[in-house]
Amino acid sequence: MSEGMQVCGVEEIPSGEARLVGRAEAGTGDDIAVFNDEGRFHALDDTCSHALASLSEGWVEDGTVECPLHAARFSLITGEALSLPAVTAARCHRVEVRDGQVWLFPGESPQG
Amino acid sequence: MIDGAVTGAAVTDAAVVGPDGRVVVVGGGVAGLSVAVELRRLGHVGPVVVLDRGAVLHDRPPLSKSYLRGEVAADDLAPYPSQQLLAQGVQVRTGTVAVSLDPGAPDRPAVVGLADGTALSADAVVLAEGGRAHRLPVPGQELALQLRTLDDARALRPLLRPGRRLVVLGAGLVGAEVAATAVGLGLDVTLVDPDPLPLAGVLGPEVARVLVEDHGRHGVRVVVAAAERLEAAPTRGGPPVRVRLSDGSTLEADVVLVATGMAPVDDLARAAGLEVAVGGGTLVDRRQRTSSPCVLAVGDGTRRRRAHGGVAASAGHWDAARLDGLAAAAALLGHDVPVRGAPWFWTDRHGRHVEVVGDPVGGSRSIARGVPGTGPFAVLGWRDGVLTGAVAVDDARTTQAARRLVDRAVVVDPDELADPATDLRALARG
Repeated sequence: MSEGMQVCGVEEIPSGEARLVGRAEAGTGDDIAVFNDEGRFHALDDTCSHALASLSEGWVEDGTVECPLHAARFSLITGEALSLPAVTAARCHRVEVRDGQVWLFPGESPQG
Repeated sequence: MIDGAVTGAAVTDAAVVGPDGRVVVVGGGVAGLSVAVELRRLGHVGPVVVLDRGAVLHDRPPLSKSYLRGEVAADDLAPYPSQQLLAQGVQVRTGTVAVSLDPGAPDRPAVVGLADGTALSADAVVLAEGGRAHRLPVPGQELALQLRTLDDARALRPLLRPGRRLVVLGAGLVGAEVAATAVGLGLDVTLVDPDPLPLAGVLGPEVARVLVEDHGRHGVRVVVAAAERLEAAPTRGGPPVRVRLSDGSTLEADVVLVATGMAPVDDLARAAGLEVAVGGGTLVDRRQRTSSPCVLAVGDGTRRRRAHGGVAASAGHWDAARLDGLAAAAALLGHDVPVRGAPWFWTDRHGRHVEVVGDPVGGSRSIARGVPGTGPFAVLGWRDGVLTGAVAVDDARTTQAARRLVDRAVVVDPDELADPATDLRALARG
């Protein structure tokens, strides 16, 4: 298990938006997008599993993110691909809010 | 009478098949496959068979772009991977041509006849016959290639070699995409269309102009004319095809592609006596129902009846086909069909990603955000307090917001929309 990294304060990611954590910083194969969906924080691999697009630029709503390029939708909770053109799940990472700070655990599954 | 009408409505919205009913889908494009996968998601457990005449299931958007550039293999073009369909118990039969349809009746199964002489019975049939490339009604048109299917793309791809002369007839979505792809591959490309501002009726003149000028900037020669005749070159060593144009000029080409649109295929529906639109296309209602109770139809091969009479214009876009599939699955099982948002499509050419939501030219005011041609920009249509649509170039944030603003009929102030400081996302969230 990774020990986690402090991303930013919760107020620095407005609801419906995302903060990008670079792969070098996260030590992962892809950049990670940390989303705020109405106060609930989630993290997915940033690159859409269908085409080269950044999910951090997507539309966040109802526990899902819609890819900015072709509107494939993913579950923010499980990473599941919910609509074409994506058919492969996005990798999820555990996020925790502690003392008003968003903590990301790259490579660690939210489901434990 | 009122009671009767209500009862009638309730009956016609009932399930076409039970959860274990047998469904045969004719056509394995995005519309047909969406029916199959959505049926499973909604709890259907009965047999689902998808027939497709092609050897390989494939999506169409890459055929004019990444596939032509050689960046994607044919086996990776399927909308859903075959293992996933297999795991869901969806039986896919490629290379299978349906030649007849007995639409059946509530007490008698439908029967799909196949080219090999066998037949499949089904409690419900979903026709996803698709479209065929429109042929140019000019002498010599058989000398031109077309681009609709993977087989078409397979024929075209090896011909796109650097230095060759490609003439594309038709500067719509497919024609412009192929021209952009080919010039990127180093071909000498001429794009011919009688319309000086192609797609202006859909995108509006500002964006249409930027896109036309893009062709010139990237080395595609644009000719405003119509093709009148294609001729095989008479001399040895000459170009294979000579294209005579309405302006009296002649183009010499190694390859000619006709990209003048798509015609709906309704062969099975027509032969089975189902109602079809004037000009082609199986007629369906908002639940994708045809004139026969056990047969639904989806995708490019259909035309939709309007609720108050008349027939809607054909969409012909990827997302519309996908949504048809979701609606048909819901209708088959007697569920409410999902509410359909504003139509949406995209096109990629010369490195620009263009998206259209709703009707950008249907407003009484046209509102620009950003400067056309430089960086992300968009043009919004506004009428009576709400957005009618938007066209956005490299501007996903505006597209995403505009879709919600249109779908939710959010009342917006046009001056606020025109202000670059206004965050459309915030407006769309209300």
